[in-house]
Amino acid sequence: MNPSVLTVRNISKRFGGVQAVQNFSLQLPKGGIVSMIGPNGAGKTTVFNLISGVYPLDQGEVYLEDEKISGLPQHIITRKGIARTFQNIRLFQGLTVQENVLTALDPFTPYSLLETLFRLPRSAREEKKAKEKARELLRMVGLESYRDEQPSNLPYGLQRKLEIARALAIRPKVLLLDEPAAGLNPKEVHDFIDLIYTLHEDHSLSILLIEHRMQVVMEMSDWVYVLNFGKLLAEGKPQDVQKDPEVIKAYIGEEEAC
Amino acid sequence: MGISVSVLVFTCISIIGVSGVFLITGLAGMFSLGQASFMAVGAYTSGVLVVRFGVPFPVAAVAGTLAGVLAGLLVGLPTVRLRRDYIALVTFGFGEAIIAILNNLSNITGGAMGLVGIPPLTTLPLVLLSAFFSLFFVWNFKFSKYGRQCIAIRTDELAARSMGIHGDGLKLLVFILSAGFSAYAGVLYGFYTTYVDPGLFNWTRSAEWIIMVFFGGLGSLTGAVISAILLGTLPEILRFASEWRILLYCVIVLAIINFRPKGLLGERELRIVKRKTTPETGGAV
Amino acid sequence: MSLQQLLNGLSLGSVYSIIAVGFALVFNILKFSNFSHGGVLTVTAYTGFLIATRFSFGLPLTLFFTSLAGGVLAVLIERVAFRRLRRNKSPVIFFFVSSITMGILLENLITVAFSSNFYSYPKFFQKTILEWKGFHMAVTDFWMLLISLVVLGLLMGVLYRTKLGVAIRALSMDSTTTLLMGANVDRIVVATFFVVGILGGIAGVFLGINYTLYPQLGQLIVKGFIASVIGGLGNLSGAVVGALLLGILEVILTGIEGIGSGLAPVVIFFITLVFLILRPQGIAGKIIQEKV
Repeated sequence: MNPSVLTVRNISKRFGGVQAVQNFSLQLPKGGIVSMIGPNGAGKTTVFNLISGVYPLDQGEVYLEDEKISGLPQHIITRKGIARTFQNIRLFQGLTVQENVLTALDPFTPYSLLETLFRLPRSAREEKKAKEKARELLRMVGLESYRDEQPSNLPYGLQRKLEIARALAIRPKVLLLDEPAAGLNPKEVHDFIDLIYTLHEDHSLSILLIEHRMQVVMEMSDWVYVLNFGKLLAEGKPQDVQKDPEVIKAYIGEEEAC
Repeated sequence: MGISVSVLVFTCISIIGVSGVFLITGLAGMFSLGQASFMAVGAYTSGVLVVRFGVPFPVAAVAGTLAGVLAGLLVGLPTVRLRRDYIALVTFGFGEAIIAILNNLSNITGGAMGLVGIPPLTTLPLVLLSAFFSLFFVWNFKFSKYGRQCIAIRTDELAARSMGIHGDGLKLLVFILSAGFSAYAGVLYGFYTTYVDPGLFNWTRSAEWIIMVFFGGLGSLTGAVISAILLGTLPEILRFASEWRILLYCVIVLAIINFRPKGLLGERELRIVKRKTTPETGGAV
Repeated sequence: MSLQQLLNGLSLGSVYSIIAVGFALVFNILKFSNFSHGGVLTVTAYTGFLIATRFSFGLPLTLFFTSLAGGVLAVLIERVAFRRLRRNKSPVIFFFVSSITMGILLENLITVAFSSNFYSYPKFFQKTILEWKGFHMAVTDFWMLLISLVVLGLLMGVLYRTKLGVAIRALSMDSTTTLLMGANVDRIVVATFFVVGILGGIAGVFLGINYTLYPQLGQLIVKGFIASVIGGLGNLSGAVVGALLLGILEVILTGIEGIGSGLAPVVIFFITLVFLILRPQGIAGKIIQEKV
């Protein structure tokens, strides 16, 4: 029995002449919160993309619990329990806030095309149930009153929360968060950390985090992986990694105000 | 009086075709320059069955529609996972291929001279009923999980996939449905005009339907219907020659794209239909 | 396949290659498939016809004027159909619809102006057939091949040896950086369209000669599209190769008994489809992977 919920083993990816990720490995323990840090362009988002199936792997494997998921289509990987958010918010602009969450529930909602076209009772019932679930999720992140708004009308911090609510709709085992605190002011970051912790407790989520904000990384992580030029530079407990001379060297000129 | 009946019939037929295009372009964001060729499949299959083989009309109509659905499946299967530009090219190519095949099978289809002697079995009530049901089906589709996922795919396919949405599967479904609508429109068309020839079903007609959807607003079904009615009846009322009608379309579209890209209604729908809404969704979706 | 067929195919393909390159240039810069180019082809074909018959100009002079006309028309099209979209940073779909609409508009303008009659170009040359060691080639075909090669060579020269060419290539790789480097993006785009228009003007006359004149001539833009796809969308040399292959293929298919010119489009369609499925990046291209 694998204590890790997500195992990444020796993955590599090349884009034309650029080796974006090289021989990278990672373990996410069940119920843990792990961070990936590194200078811009280090390959962190590429690792996410490889895990979630956006790009095919050149080499290596990814396992969700004991099941190999590398090589599966993107949407299947998601349905197996891996949800993610994006560095640049990617909400569905043609839909309302509530509908954005609903779309994540839709692949699991059980009514058929025929029932839809003829508006048979089961479709109406299941729609109602789904909408209630969506409201519940919005309530969890504090967005319920905005449910009929257009996502573009929401302030930035709330859009980030919507992305999280949408990701949670999948009932994921693993949550990949790509710079979720980017663009937030210190108070919002604080609220955000609280929110993540609450969700983490309530839903026994395992979280893999990409972050630049040392504050977030230090406070939240059980373990940190440092990437540079696509390769693993260092790993360890947050306080150890923080003091590692190699890590500090890589970050010179990239100091984040905490 | 006779003139306005035919205008009504043609408008309703357009509405049926446009509903299909709304599914594929408005909801799923794909550009199919071959919808008219599915119309041809429907018209010719049903026409030939009745004229050459004496099959009763209802059976032929169903066969025609199913032929269109099958064609949609065959074309859609390799096509939907291609890039947007490529989908347009492939559907265009398919359209040309169909026309070429129809022209060449002159024994059965009458070739470029067309298929004549189709009995006039399309009646106004039939057409009105069909248009109503087309809209009913597409409306229900839009406000269901299917519609939402399509809009998600249209807006951001990558993010949609990350949410577990089966992009290719949905696109294929929509493609097939849309082909079915077009084929049925073709059946009604053929049995109204009593004559069809391959030249009637070229890519320009497909483009016209796409333009109607755009004019009404990509995400709006009521907008598409309004455009179909407006753009369909206006030239009849004003008695323009057909070339001028197309010029008018083009100018309208260019104006819309430049000055009001959202079209008439954007993503909204006109609230003329009282839907049985669940308590929460009192507002426009 | 005989050498004669090869020759015919090459000269047909050379015309297609001018179309394909014009198409690929716009794809490089603005990242969409420009169907309005078909309209340019049609209009310049008819313009050339008018000029040649009214003024009895020879081929070179006709080409000069049509390429000018094409350039101007293309610049106008950019202004009307694409400028605002660029400003508003509209999604690619809109460029696409705009270009198709423009193409249809031009096609129908011609239909209204000339009705659906067929016209044909006057004879430009006294001798119609060139003979050499048993091979023959229509004089017009020969000139088309020659002129196409020269034009393509000139184009490569412009792209790789002039400041404008560098600017165009830079823009095709990264528009934001180019803008930040101080380049006047608008001017580069206009210049590109002018060049594309010139290419269209030349191709239009050749098509008019080869196919006789009819308003739907512009639909041959699809050949340019197919050639670009086979060669690799956006890749210029690939477009040329794809076009030549297409020309040869068409000649061969038309010569085969059961197929002829009627069913040739069907076969080509299937070949394109197979190509798209098995090698979507074309012969020379690389799949552009979206950076997430």
